[in-house]
Amino acid sequence: MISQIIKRLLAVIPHLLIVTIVLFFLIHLLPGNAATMILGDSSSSIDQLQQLESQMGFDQPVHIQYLQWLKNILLGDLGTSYLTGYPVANRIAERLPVTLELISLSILLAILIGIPIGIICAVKRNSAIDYFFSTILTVGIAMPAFWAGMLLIIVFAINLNILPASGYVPFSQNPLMNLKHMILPVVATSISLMSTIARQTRSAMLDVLGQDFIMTAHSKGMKWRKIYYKHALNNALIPIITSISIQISTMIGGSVVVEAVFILPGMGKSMIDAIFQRDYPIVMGEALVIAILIVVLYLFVDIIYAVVDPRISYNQKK
Amino acid sequence: MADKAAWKDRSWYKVVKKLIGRKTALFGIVVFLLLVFMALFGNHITPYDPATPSASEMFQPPSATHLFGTDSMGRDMLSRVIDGAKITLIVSVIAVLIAMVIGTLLGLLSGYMGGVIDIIITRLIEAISVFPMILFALIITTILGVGTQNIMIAIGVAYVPAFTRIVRAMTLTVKEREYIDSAKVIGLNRAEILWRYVLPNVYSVIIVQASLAAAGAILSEAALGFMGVGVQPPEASWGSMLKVGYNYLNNAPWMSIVPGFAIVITVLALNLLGDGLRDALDVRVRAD
Amino acid sequence: MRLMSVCGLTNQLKLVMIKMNNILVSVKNLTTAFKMGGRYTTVIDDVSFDIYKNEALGIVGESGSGKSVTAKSIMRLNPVTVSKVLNGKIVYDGTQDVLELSEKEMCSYRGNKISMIFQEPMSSLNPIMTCGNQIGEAIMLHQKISKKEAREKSIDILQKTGMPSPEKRIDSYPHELSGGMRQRVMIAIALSCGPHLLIADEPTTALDPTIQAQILDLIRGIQTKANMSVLYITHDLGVVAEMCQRIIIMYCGCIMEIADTYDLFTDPLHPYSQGLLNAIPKMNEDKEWLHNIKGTVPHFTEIPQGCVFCTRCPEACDSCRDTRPKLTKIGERREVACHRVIHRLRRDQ
Repeated sequence: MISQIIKRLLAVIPHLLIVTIVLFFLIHLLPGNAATMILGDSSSSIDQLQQLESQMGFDQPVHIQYLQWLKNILLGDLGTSYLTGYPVANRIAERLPVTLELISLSILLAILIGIPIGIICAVKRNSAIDYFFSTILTVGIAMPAFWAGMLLIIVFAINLNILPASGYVPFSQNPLMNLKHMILPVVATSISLMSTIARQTRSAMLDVLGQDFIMTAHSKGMKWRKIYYKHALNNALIPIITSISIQISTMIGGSVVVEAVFILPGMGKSMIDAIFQRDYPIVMGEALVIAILIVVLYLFVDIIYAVVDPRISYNQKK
Repeated sequence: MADKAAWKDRSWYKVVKKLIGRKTALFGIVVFLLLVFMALFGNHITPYDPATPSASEMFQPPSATHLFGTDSMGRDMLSRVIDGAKITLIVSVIAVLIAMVIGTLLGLLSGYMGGVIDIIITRLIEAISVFPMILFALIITTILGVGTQNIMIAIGVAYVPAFTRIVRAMTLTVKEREYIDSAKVIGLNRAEILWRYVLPNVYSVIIVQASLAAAGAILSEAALGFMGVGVQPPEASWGSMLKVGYNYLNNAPWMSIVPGFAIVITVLALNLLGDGLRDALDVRVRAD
Repeated sequence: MRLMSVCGLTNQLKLVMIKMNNILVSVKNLTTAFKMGGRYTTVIDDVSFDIYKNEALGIVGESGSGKSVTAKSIMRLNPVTVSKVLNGKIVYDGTQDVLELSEKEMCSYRGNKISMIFQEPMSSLNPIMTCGNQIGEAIMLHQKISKKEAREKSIDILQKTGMPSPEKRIDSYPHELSGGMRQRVMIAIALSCGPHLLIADEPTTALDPTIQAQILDLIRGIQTKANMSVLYITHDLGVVAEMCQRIIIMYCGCIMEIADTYDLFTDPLHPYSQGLLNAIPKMNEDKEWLHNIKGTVPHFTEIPQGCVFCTRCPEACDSCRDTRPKLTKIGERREVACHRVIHRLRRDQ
């Protein structure tokens, strides 16, 4: 079990390396670099530019630059902001908790609501409730997260005036206010994942309920409710988890724009601002962190697989 | 007489019939056609000129004269939405085409050639697909600059992994089939085999994916437009309308509700179309 | 001929020991319909038979004959959303009509008083639960014991099914066991609460022949030792010949004949039974062609109004096509549903 986790961790490293290579390649394509930024466009001579560039290491061959950049990253130096001159790592450290809170609460909400809805739809297949929810879910997948956020603002913040439309209060400062500010963004972000989970739960449950061992459980004298939650759901979890892992990347993308809508001081908003300010180190640094976050999430999902499905570890033992 | 009977036996006719049979897929087709219609003939059906501002009619809520209200510059929302359909559609179609062509090519190469090429392409695609599509498209726009043309490329490139993966899987399945061996024996070279044997089997998967990718492309365009990175004024897409609407959530919520609603309906329709196509074409990629 | 010698003596002895009034389950006029193509179609029609205590009864028929539906009806396992009992009673132990019980009450019967084992042991076991847990679960559903006690009981029962090293196997998952071992686990689950009736739905069809013999021996051994009846559902005449004292022949949802095994094999009365037995190739016969019953099983929409077998029966007459023959008692221990046979035997009397 432990050995499998370690094996998976090791497999992740080359993957991450390739991700860094791709990112670095993209950075390299960016118009201008730190030197041009510092000196501005017209007011300096070519010589000054070249001097600064060689000082900053921009005249080295590409692969050397990459290795230098990689080395810096591993040492925790993600570069320096063009705009503020402060290390990117600091900015990330400020912003990351907000994004993490948004993402984790969204995943939680999506699972807590999505799975029961899926089960209800499967159990009451083709009934009015099933059609009702299935329609809502189909619409939910089609909805852009940020637009859902805007709608929520219109309804709850403007018309009903019970929740704030923007802003953020750290949890440590005031838990209640923190949650109040986070409800709407979390709901908006979780809608697409929630709908996917619910649909997948419904379909996976229907598949499982058609299998023979459900009949065996029934013949033992088990009541249906217990069959659903103990035998059916456990087996249905496997395809559900697969669908979660596929959709997570999209959800995180959605969270970035939701941060912009609700003006949450998270990494997403920071990245968007940085793009407009042409503060590329911040863009790249945060993109890297998000990529690492997603890879870690995938790893986590992989491990959960091995826990839920004993056949997987068996096949690998063979 | 014989010709007519033969025509009805053609596989694509059966597919279309099966597709129309499902009500949800039918809804998808109808909306899609409506969208195309709006894109092509939008100019003729708009009740008002979508671009002309009118100071006297600013911020009017939906009414009999203005079905969807007016925006901050007094322009009729209904007309703007119809007009915006054009750009939204063009962006999404071209993005999907880009993704489709590049993705299919890479998928075919990767699946058929195997070996080092396969490893390189797969690893590259895996690395790219770690990034959320919106982020990746954002980064590419950062490199290329803002504008309609650039987000088409950005969204297109962001969707390449989706096509590559699925084409590769299908190619791997087809490769194992025996008629590929017979083709080799006859003496066809690799390119010919790919084009004449592998591709026809793969295109059904591609069509389904194209429909779903179009839906995603519209969502991506919406997000990028909302962030101001996409279509620039005076052109308007549904995404950029949302950007403007965001500033007036308080006093003119319809400015945000209406374009968003259009997006949802379109994405919904394309999703349903994609699902329907998947069922009609009976697409199943057998993973080994 | 081997069939005759094996079943002849032992079963005759057993028959003497089975008392006539010792009825465990009495199925009366059971008619069940399934939803097919949007409408409800009758799948079994007016099925009546008794299961005696301590007997091994077999239901034989082709696929689609309704034998599995009948068996599941006794435990009310047919899916409620697509099946309906139109008529009939299933009386358990002379007191309770099982069809009248609520679902909750029925749960106390299932796995407890009546159990079932199924054809495919691989797909009939939960793939992500250990075998021990699945057996223990069956026990704890009906008995108030601790998990530890249930585990010990599970090992005990597993031992009784002839599983080698049960203490180790109990923590295995189904995919780690062979087909024969999985079927033993299924049997352990079914027997865990000491049921009075075990329904075996094609228990050996999916197994290798050598394992088949082992499992059948196991079931027979348990049946003779414990106070238990077994209802075999199968299409294999060889199995019923070895294992059962009485046989019910079903076709297209109706019972064609009920007879003691020996009687059925030596003197089948119903034309369908005759056809089935003639189709078995015999070692000491000198035939060039294998006998088969002409025609095919009718589609469920085309089942004849009269006798269900009339389209393929060599002796069919107009009254056969007109009215469905009722299952009629002939002599002490025989029932046949055939106009010609009943008419002939009445005439002979």
